[in-house]
Amino acid sequence: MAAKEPLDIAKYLKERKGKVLVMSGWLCEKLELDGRRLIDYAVELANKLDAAVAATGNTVNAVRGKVKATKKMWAAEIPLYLKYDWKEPFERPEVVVLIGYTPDAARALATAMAGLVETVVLDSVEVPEATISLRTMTIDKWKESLKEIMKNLG
Amino acid sequence: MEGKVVKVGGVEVNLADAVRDPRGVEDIAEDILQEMGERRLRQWDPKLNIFAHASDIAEWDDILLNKYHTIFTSGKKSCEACQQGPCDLSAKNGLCGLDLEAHQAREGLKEACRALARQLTHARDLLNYAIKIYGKEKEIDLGPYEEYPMTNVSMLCGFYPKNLADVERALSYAEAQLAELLYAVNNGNESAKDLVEKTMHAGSLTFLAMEVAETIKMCIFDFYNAGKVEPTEYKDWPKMQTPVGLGVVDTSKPVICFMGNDFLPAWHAVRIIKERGLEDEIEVCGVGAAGHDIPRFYEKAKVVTSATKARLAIRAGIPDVIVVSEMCLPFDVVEEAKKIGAKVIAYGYKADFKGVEDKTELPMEELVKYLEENDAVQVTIPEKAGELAVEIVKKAKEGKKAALLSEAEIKEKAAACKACDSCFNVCPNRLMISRAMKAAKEGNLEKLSEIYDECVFCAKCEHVCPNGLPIIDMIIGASIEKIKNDKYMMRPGRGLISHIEWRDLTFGFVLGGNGPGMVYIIGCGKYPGAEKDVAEIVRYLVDRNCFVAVAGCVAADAAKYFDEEERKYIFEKYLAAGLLRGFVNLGGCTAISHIPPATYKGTMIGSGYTPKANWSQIVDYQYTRLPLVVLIWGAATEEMFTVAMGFARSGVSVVVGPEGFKFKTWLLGNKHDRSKWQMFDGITGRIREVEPCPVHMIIPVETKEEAITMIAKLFHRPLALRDPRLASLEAYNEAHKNFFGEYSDDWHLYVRSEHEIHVMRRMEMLRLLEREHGWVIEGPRVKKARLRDGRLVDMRDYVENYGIQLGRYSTVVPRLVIKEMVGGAVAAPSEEITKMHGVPKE
Repeated sequence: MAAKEPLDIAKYLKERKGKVLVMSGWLCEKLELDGRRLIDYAVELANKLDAAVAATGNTVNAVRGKVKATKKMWAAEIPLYLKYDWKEPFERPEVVVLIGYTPDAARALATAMAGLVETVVLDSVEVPEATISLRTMTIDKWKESLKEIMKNLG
Repeated sequence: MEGKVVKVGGVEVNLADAVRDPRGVEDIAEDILQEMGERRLRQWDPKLNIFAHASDIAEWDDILLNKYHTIFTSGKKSCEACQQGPCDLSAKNGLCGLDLEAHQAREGLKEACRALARQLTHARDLLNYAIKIYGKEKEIDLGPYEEYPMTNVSMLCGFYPKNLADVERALSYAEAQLAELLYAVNNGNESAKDLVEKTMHAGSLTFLAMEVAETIKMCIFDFYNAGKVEPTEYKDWPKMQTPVGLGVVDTSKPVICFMGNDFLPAWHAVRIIKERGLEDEIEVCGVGAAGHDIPRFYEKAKVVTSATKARLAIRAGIPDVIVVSEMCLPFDVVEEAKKIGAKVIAYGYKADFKGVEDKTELPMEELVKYLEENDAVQVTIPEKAGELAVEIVKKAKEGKKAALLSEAEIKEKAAACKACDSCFNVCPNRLMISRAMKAAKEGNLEKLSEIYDECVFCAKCEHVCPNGLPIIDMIIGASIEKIKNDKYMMRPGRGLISHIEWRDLTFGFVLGGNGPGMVYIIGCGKYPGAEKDVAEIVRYLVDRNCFVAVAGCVAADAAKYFDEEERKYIFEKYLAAGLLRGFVNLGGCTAISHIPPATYKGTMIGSGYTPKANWSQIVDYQYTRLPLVVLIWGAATEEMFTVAMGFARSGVSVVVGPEGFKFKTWLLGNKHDRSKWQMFDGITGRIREVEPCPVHMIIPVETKEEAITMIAKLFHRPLALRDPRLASLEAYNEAHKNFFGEYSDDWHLYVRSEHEIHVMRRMEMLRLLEREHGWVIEGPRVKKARLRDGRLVDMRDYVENYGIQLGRYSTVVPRLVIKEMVGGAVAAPSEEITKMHGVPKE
């Protein structure tokens, strides 16, 4: 795994447009980066990547109707379904983007999905278990990084 | 192997067929076979796991691990277990042949062994002490309302201990098992599955160790014990007498605070306080396990907070003397105590702190003098540790320093924050501390005070702060009012759930009634949100007819609710008994050991099976019938991971809070894979497809809403009768719809008749079955249903091909298919059931 710059992450995701699933975790609703909730970034990301959102925690209520497809899912079940039987109402992804999880949860989920899909963690903490993640940074830089990723996704 | 032949009525059993190696345990085996009786022995071949090694329970473990997938979460890819290493396992097996998955499984076993060791040494200390005082012949008497004493022991060893010598035999067995498990941590190239089985074994042994400790507490030290109390008194017993919270301690008096797992010094301190008539002069309080033990023998004791937040109790300046024994979440108590000038007595051989000297041999007068001149001392004899605490506490009070930062000091320190966010990036709850610091710098302490509500006081933020800011002190200083107002009341722990209560629970949750299920909440107080979440979960569940019990540190957090309208604390709002809408506190951490026996009781009352070394049969029954779920909300410690594995092995599903993502292993079922959801008709042996339930054995969730919904889903059991099926389905549908704005994608898998859908929701759900799943509905009736293979069939075919006929004996264990019908012991389906659900094809 390599920690990447926002620009590189945007490029990587853009190349995989249509093959991405965004997982939105419970922190998406809790964390606000200077007036903008993390869930809004998740929605924007999904729309720019033409991706469905696997809304875990309680996030489905904030995502419903704002993206092309979403469903209430349980974070721990996603690696299982990827491994054995993908029967969700959206296509089996090649890349899963994790946003709104604690670093511990992101690490565990990335480990559980290793070898099944590529994983991208958009947290302010580097997650070595993921295929790609942002570097560890301040809240302000995290906000700027997310903005930069969105901007470069077109 | 040739074995002794035992005659039970007209049946002869060769012990070598029933026990892997009967040598040395023939007496136990014979006793169990006689208890099983002729009729049972004609029906099934017995397999007894007396003094079980992990592989002796493989019959059950294999069933479980074939059904549920192990998801490993350890990212470690390099093995350094032996001198040949390190071996990089990411691309190929290690030199010993170990593969990556097994290595990950081993990480779990390693944790489980550490947790087991902690519980075993605790139990051993207590047992040795009890034997020293009372001798090995001291009888084990849990009271007239405990018919099945020490079933964690009996399930693994094959007997009910009658005295301390028997208890020692069981504990020695468990200690030997730990040695065997530790060998597997570092040797061999077993499969991941074998290692997971061993991890579950560590869980079962942890229950045994906790049960030994708990039994000694109740039998030797007279802790509250429901086995000795008239069941008619349960509804308001034990009394609402234990104050909980940081604000309940009268710090104008000398305060002794006990922390850690060991209550013995507290027991002696209380004895001395009572002898000297000092009850109103000295405050006795506790944190964590000891905190929950003391109120079970001292009515004036107070519980400050959970073990996780012990640091908070100290920084808030509560104790004058801290008596600390080994801790589940260790931290440098001596260094923390120095900050407020409190004295520390480190009790026991395991409470080793750097620079603290063992002065046990000094006479009391010199010991007091020594502690007056030093910050801390180690004492290994409980009587002496307890007496020293009482002797020193008044003098210690005089040396106390001011603990709390003033507003001006907080403001000044906040100015030094450079907003590097190192704190945010290590915070387990992702609290935006730098934003609060910025506000504090400008004189607004409100944001720091908001952080207080969600902080678990782990102090990771302070640890990484490049400027060395006392962040915890600043949060506490900004929250003085909250600390003062942190005042609640709870019932102290009551020990076991009596078999008398289970007779009632059986009617409420299994045979009929409208209780969706039973929930046991345990955990270490380390939550991602505010501690009030636990109380909210309790209220939600009890208000919907569940029975809820708490054990461990979580009990103090569950207590943090006061109903303004009724003017009642949560523990007095509900019946304190094992009934529908009952809410009870079992006790501290070791009281978790009452939970598996509580479930075994349900099985024994329902089936009459023996709980002695008869693992598969007991667990098969409860796994397939009893709507029972454990919630580990603050799943922070190795102990919690280990007991989760133990519960799973006992057939009890476990939901773990957000910390549970750190668990090294999750056990998840795949609802889509129909081949996994099958049972044997217990009479014909015919394989039948059943609902995917319980769909998971260990699953982490992110929020309290997810926890409640998953609990409701896991209430489903394939052999549940109609009313319990309705109650659990309604609980699931209600929660999913309310919390997530939509019904789940799998609720229809649990419907086998329109009568299983709640009347208030029936028409809506029938329309959904019609529209989304292609069922044929006529008015309020299901005319045709769709099987999982896609066929649309009439209801008679549906219930014949999916799920188990109500009330029909079925099993997931092939051995337990009845081999011989005995004297009409197994009844044919009743006419009513046949009419309602058809008859099997045979």
